[in-house]
Amino acid sequence: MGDTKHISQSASVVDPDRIDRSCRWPVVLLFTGAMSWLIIGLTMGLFSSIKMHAPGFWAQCEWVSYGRLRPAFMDAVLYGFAAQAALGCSLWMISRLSRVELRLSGIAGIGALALNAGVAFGVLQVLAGQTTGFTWMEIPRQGASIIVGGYALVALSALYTLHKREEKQLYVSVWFLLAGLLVFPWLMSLAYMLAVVEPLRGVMQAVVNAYFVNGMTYLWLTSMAMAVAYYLLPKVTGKPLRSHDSALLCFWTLVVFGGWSGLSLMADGPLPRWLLGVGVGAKWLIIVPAAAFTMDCLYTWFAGKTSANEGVAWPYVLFGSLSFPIFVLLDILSTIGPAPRTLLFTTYSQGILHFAVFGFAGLLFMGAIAHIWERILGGRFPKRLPFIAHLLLSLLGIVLISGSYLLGGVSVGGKLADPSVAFTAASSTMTLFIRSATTGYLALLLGQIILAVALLKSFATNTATIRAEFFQWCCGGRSPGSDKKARARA
Amino acid sequence: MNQVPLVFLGLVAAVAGSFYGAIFLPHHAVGRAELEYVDDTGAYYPAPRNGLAQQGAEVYRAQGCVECHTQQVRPKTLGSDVARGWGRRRTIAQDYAQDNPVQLGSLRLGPDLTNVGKRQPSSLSNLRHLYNPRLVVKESYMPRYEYLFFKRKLEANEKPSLNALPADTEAGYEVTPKPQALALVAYLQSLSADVPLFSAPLPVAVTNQVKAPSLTQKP
Repeated sequence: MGDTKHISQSASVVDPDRIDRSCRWPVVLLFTGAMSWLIIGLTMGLFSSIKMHAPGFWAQCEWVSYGRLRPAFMDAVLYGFAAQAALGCSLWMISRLSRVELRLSGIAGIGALALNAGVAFGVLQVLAGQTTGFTWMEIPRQGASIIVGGYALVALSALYTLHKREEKQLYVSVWFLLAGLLVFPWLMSLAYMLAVVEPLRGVMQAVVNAYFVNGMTYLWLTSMAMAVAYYLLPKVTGKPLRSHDSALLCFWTLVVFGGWSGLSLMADGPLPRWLLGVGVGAKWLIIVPAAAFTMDCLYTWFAGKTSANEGVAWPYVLFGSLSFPIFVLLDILSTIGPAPRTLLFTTYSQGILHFAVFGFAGLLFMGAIAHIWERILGGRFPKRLPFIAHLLLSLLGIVLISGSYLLGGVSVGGKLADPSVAFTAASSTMTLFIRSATTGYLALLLGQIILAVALLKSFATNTATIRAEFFQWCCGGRSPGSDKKARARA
Repeated sequence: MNQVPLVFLGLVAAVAGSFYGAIFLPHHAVGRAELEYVDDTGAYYPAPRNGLAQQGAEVYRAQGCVECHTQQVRPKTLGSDVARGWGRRRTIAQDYAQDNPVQLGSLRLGPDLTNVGKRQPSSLSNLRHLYNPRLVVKESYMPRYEYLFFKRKLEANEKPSLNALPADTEAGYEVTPKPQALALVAYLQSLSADVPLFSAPLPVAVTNQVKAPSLTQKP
C-alpha cells in the first residue's frame, strides 16, 4: 500500500456517471439473470408447495416430483438469484467505493454468462435425478464447478478493481464484500471436495454439509446482504453511518462465530454432545454481530433529521435490515433449552431459511437492484407504483411463507413430542399451514414478476442509446484503458 | 482497516479457525471409526448392503426422499423417537459408516426411516405404498411414485402377470414394478440400526422381576 494517491484529488477526476457506465453491461447481465432465476425458482417453489398438499398433482412426471423440484427451487434461488444479485451489487459498489471505473468488465461478463449456464445445467441435473443428496449442494459437481468458476471470474473483476482503487479508505461495505467474494468459492470447493468428490467417511459428510449450509447463510449471504445494507443505509437516509466501530465489531464477530456455528444444524444428531455444544454456543454468540448491526442501523436511521428518502430503495433497506435480528433471534430460539425437542425436524428450520433468503437478503438485494438499475441505465423510474406493489406483495409472501412454516413447525412439533399422538394425526395438521405457504409463494412470485416488468420497461425506454453502446462494448471498442489513452491524447 | 491484505488475512484466519472447529475436530472424533465387532451377532457392524439395496440407495438419493424423511433417531431423553418405535436406541456415527451419500435428513414431513426395514418388512406393502401411499396410509400426503411402475390397461378377462401388484391397487390395470422400485424397496428393507453397540446399547428388557418383600405383615 505504498502509493499515496489522495482521495480528494482523484475523487474529482472520475465522475460517478462514468463509473456507472463502466459497470453497466456486466451488472445488467447479472441482474437480469438474477431476476429470471428468482422467477423460475419461485415457480418451482410454488409447484413444490402445491404438491405438498395435493400429492396427485403432476404425479406421473418424474422430473417434477417433489423430491427433485424442492432442491431445484432452493438451488435456483441461491445460485441463480442470490449469487448473481450479490455479484452485481459487488461490482457496482466496489467501483463506486474505489472511485474508479470497473476493470476487467469483459471477464465479469463472461463470468456472469458462465454462472447462468452453470445454474441452468445444475438445475436440470437435479431435475433429472442426479442430485448429490446434500442440502444446498444438490447440484452435481459438473454444474457446481461451472458455478464456482463463473463466480470466481466476476469476483476477479471486482477484486482487481479494488486493487486499482483511488480511494484510500476502505468503507465498511468493502470488508463485507471481500468476505462474501472470497467465502463463496472457498466454501463451495471445500464442501464439494469433502462430501462429493472425495467423500469423507460416514456421518462426516453430514457434518460438512451442515458447515456448508451454515456458512452459506451466515458467512456468505449475510456478508453480502450486510454490505448492501451498510452501503444503502447512508444513501437512503442522507446521513453518514453512525458508528464504524460497531460495524467493525459486527464484521469480525460475524466471520468468527458464523463459521463455528456450523455444527448447531446437527442438533441432537449422531455426534458427541460436546461437539454439538460448541456449535450451539457459537450460534448464541451471533447475537453480538446482530446487536451491533441493528444498533448501527437504528441509530443511523432515527438519529437526526432524515433528508433523503427520495429513491425507491429505502423501504427495502428498512425492512431488510430489520429482518436480520429477527432471523438471528428465531434461529437462536430454536436451540435454547427444550426447544430442539419439539422444533427439530419440523418446518421451523424451513421458515428460518426462507426468512433469511427472501426476507433479509432478498429484500436488501431487491432494493439494491432497483437503486443500481436507475443509476447504471441513467434514467429514473417514471412510476413508483410497481415498486410499492412489489414491496407489499413480497412482504406478504415472506410473512405468509415463513409464518406458516414457523407456526406449523411449532404446532406439529408440539404434537409429535407426545408419543401417544399418531404421526399421521400430527402431520395432517400441517396441511393448513402448507396451503397458506402456497399462497405466500404465489404472492412472492407475482411481486417479482411486477418488479421484473418495471425493470424491463425502464430498460426498454433507454434502449436506443444503450443498444449502440452495447455493440461498442461487445466489439471491445470502449474499455477503461482505451478511455484513459483517449483522455491522455486530448 | 484500510488495508485489503489485513482484512484478507483476518478472514482467512477466521475461516480456517472455523474449519478446524467444525470439520477437523469432528473428523478427529468420529470420522475415523472402524467397523465394530458385535458379540451378540458375531459379525462386524455395519455390514455392507447387498447389490440391489445399494442400487436402491441411489434411487433414494435421486428421488430426493431425504427432503421429507430423516434417518436418525434421537436419544430417549431428547424427543419422542424411541417412544414412537422409530428405533430401540439412538443412532450414533457408527451406524452410517457404510453409507455414501449419508442421508441424515433434517425435515420430517414423513416418519423417520432409520429402522423402516424392521418396521415394514413386507415387499408388497412397500411397493403398494410407493405406487399410491393412500392405499396403505389413508391420511398420507406423500407423493405417488407412479413412474416407478409399468401400468397397462387390462383387456376384458385378461389376467394380470404374476409379478403385478394385487388387482385392488388400480382397478382394471396391471401395475408391475420397474427395477428402480424393486431396488428402492430392497434398500428400505435393508434399513435398520438396532444392533447393540458399546456406545449405544439396547435397553435391557426386565422381565422376571423379583417382588420386593413387603415390610408390613398382612393382617
